[in-house]
Parts: sequence; C-alpha cells; structure tokens
Amino acid sequence: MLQTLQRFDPIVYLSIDTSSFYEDDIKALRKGLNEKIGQYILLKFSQHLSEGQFEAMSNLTDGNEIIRRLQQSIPNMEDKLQEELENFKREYHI
Amino acid sequence: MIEPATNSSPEASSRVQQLLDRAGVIVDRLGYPVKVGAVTGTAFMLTACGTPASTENSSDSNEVPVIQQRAGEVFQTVTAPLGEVKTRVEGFIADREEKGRAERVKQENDELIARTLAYQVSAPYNPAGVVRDDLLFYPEKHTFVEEQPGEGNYRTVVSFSKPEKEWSRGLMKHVSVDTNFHTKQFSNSTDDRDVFLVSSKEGVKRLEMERSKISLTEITLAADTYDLPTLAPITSRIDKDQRYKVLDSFLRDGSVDDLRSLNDDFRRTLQYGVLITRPDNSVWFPDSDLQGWNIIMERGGMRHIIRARISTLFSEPYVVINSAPVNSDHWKKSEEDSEVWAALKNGDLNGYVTKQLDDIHKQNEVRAGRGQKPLPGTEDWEKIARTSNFTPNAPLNPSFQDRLNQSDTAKQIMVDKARAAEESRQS
Repeated sequence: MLQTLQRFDPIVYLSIDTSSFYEDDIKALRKGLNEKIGQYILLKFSQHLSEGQFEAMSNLTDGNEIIRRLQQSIPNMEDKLQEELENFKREYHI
Repeated sequence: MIEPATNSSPEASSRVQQLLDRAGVIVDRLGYPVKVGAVTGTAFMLTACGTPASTENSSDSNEVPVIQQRAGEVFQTVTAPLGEVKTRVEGFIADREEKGRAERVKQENDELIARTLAYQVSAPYNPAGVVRDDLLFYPEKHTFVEEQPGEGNYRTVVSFSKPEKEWSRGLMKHVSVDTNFHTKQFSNSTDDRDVFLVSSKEGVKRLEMERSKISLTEITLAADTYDLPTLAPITSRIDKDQRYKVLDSFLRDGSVDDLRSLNDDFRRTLQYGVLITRPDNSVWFPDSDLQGWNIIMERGGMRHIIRARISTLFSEPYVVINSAPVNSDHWKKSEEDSEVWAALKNGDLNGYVTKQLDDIHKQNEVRAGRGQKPLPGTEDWEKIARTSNFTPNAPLNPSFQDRLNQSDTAKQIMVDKARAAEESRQS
C-alpha cells in the first residue's frame, strides 16, 4: 500500500455526486474509475521505463509486483503518483 | 453465468457509463500504442490503496460487479465470479481495443504516411498532397485535413510537426478525441503555434496549440470561448506560403485582400460568369457543386488542373487545394467520363454550362432516389443557365465578353507554352 493512496476513493477524489445511484452502480463506478486511473498513471509512468520494461508490466495482474517494479525504476514514485492523480483530476473536470 | 445486477436502474447505469467514458477518454488521449490491461490498472490501484481486489467490489468475495454489458442502448452492471470477470474483461479489451480500433488506426496511419511520402516524391509541383479521397495532407505543415462523410462540409484538422514516428501517435490522439467535436478548422497560425476553430455541441471555441506540443489535452486546456464575428481573416498562413498566392487575388476587377473577400468574389463569380482569366494566364471556373473552383494553370512548364474547394463554415472561408497535371492519371477518369470537361476544353461555354447543369440534374436524380437533398448550389447553377450571358441570342455583358476574350487568349497561351515546353523537353 502506498501512503499517497491510503483510503483513496476515486469517487470522493473526483467529487462525483452519487446520491441518486444504487449501491451496485456506485461499486461499478468505483471499480471502473480505479481501472481507468490505474491505466492512466501506468501509462504516464511509462516514460520512466524502457519499452521492454513497460510492455512486460502492462499485462501484470499482481499489484504488488507492479508497484515493486515501479519503485525500482522511478525515484520518488509516490510524489509523481500524486502529481499524476492531480493531472487526471484536472482533465476529468475540464 | 453473468447475470445483470438487480439493484440498478438503466438511467443510473447509463450515467455511470458516461462517467466512466469520460475517464476512458482521458486515457485514450494519451495515445500510447501500448495498452495497459484493465486488470492491470485495477490491480495497481487497488494494491496501492491497500484494498484487496477480491473484497473491493462486492460483499461476496467471489464476485465482482465490473463488466458493463451493452443491452440495446443501455449499459447494465453485471456480476460474475472474479475469474470469469478477468477472462471476459481481458477478452473484451483484446477484441475491442487491440484488434479493433488500435489495429485499424495503426493500419490507416501506416498507409497514410506511406502514401504521403510517395506522393511528395512523385508530385513536387503540387501545392497539396492528396493522400486519399477524404484526407489531405500538407507536407510543409504536417497538417491533416479530413472531410467527414455524411457531415456536410465539416472537416477536421490536426497539425503537428514531430518526426515521422510521432505522426501516427498524433493522429491517434486526434481520432480518439474527435468524437467530441464536429469541426476543427485552422485559423491564424504563427511560427510556433497553431490555431484551430472547433465547433462542438457546446459552441465554437478558439483553440491554440504550441506546435512543439502535440497533446490534444493541451489544446483543450487552452480553449476559451471565441467570439465568431471578430474572427480575423485567415491570412497569415496564406501569405507565408507561396503556393497559396494564387488564391490571393484571382479576380482583377475585384482585388482580393484575404480569403474572406476571396469567398465574396467566389459568389460574385457565380453572378457574372463561370470562366475567368487571371493575369497569370490561369483560367478559373466554379466546381460542379459550387463549393470551389477548377483552375487550369501552368506550373513548372506543365498545365495543371487545380481544384480549390472553399468551406464557408462560420462565414470563414477555408481552402483545400488539390492539384495535378492536366494529363496525369489523377484526372483521367473524370476527363474521359465527363462531357462537361470536353465542352470546356473545346471552349464551348454555353455547352459547358448546359452540360454542367445536366450533370447536376442527373446527380440530383440519383440523390433523390437515395432520399438525399439536391446538391448545394443547384439553384445557383440554374440561375447561371438562365442568365442572358449564356443565352446564345443575347449579347454578353461587355466586361464578361472581355474576360471571355482573355480566356481564349490565355488558353491559347497555355497551349502554346505547354507545347513549347514539351518540344523543349523532347529536344
């Protein structure tokens, strides 16, 4: 677990009003947003990785292994993660 | 077996899908050729958050509600065992993204670049390279202009100046984002910036992009509402480019300062006549759908036929030029098939107008059979055909007669020059 993302909820982070949603819809939304944000961050992180490293990582399903590889290649990874989260949020609200 | 979730409504599911689509667009904008799998993205985030994947999405540790299945126009949330979900998600991603859009776009881009480069080499005199029927490429600006079938005159433009390898990425970004916009049209551009006009359901915006930065995200960030009536004439790009100078003042009795007045002159052309000669000995006449001109002129010792098309969106003209030597295969089919061209080349102006109108009427009959509206400008052509200028027994307007005389002279000069050039080459 990364400190930056402790108790991270994409719905709260993006200030999405879910008051009219059923619980199942909220769960699906949370899951989908996590997926997209995860893809976004990993793609942005790809500039710190070699092409081979990135292609190998792009299909991993073990989250711990993904984070381990990123931390090996990206100094201050959590700071950059925070930065990319902000970037995603800004784009989402354009 | 995946079953639709019961605790959901079509409206809410549709809204959820919209929210997810918005996030998906942000990812697509990145335009990376390598995709990150959905499972990978989810696993990374959930692990980083410290949330076990198996318990994040469902009270039942064996099931996760993740797949959005299309049922008619409604997206429904469904639940399934985690293992089956992974399989289906991966399959879905593979089918839709990898085999579908990504491959198609890559193939199109590869073809585009190959044909563009080939065209640049084979047609050095042409002001613009025709890459394919609905896509033009301006080599010097790395600008693509795409006409969208079924969208009338709408065009999309994307411009970038990265090395060849980057072109496809730029275009992919363009394609992925373009569904949000109806029209992009470039306006004034400076040395280091491109300016686009973008029309969407939300209105028209003026967008600026630093040419060194390709990301459409940055275009979006720079967007602001643009007041259309204050739009400056599109002059900078034209003035800088020698190849557009032919468009700057094509009428002697109506000096054209910019493309806006060029467009006005185009309309006047429809009122006064269809064949115009310029001092550079080029001959101009309206295209069949009245959206531009056909121009016969000499370039590099060869006669060229140029088709200049004018978009009049937002009252701002925008020119796309398509040029090829008269005798090239590019025009072969249209010349052989068209009585209109034959009449024009024989100097039969009345015959040209009559046959042009007949041709338009034939096309309109076909269009009517398809439930389509008549070609734009049909009424104008009918008006031209009724004009006394083109009635055999009626005297021509003197100024128009002068132009016709000039046209005849110009045509002869061009023929003579072409013949001389040919003889020179042979000797």
